Amino acid sequence: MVKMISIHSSRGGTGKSLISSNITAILASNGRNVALLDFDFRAPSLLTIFQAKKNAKNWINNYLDGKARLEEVMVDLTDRYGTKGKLFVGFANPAMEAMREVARKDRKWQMKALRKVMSMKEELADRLGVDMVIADTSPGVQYSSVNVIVSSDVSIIVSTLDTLDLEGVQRMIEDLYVPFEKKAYILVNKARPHMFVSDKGRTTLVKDISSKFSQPLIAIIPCYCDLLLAERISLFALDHSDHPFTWALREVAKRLETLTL
Amino acid sequence: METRDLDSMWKELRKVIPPVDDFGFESLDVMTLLSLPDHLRKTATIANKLGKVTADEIANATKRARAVESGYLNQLVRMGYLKKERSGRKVLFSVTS
Repeated sequence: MVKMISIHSSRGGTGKSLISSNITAILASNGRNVALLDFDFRAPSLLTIFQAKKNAKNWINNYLDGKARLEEVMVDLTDRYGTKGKLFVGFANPAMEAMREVARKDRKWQMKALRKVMSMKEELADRLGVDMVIADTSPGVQYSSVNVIVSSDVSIIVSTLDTLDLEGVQRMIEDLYVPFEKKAYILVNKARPHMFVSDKGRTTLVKDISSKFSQPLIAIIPCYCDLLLAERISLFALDHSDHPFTWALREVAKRLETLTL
Repeated sequence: METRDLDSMWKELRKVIPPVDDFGFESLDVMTLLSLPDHLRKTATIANKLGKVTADEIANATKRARAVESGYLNQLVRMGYLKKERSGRKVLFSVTS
């Protein structure tokens, strides 16, 4: 049964796109047939991460407008990355005009877009043999991200330990996830290493985070300078399979693979 | 009156008449779904996904009683989010778009 997982956050800069692209790479390396979708129409980044300007002939925007089929939008990058399973990516149009166009869409369009997003995972399964869909979203509560959250089986909410982020996530859970009865996991990213150098530090950190959210904590990923310095145009998890960042995301990927719906 | 006068009058009149599609119905986009009372939200979300549904189909999806879903669907009709039609012995609810 195909699963759809969205990667969401309350604010930008939490590392959502880095996490979604690398989790996708790990799942595909594990033999899963994965489709990654860029729903961040305001700041699309996957086209750059995957260096796919020459490959993308159509956009998720066109699909939601009813002007392209899914097979025309999804780019097969399996051979480029040499993964055991299939790796498809659907990109958002990075042109300024496209971003303005999305911002102008009316409620009737948004309702039809919601319906299309809700049926995407089955369509991807039927037409491309996909068994996992990862959706990268815009941060916060806006049409494109809410459409994806409502359509997903589970969401991973990426947060830093910044108070603004944590409070934003709490509000978002209350105002969006609870009303729609949607499941979520919390993933803390860019945690400062001094917080969990000792056993006591680690226990306190997990306890503090768990006390803020009733949603389960799926991972705490420390801030790594070498990750910040690495080229954004590569898939870190494929190039650095022994790095702790990759280990952490492998654990997350394992949890997602064994998720029962 | 001359044809030219009638033609320009008609064009001006058309600008102030709203298109039929936009007239009188509410859309079930996610922000509208969020603003609905809690008990109607699940029903409305699934109705939007399926497009045209019976109370039975919604009840199968929500695991609530058919009579309960029928009540919710009729409430959504009264609020302008769904329309209701008979097809033989079936009562079908569909999104107003």
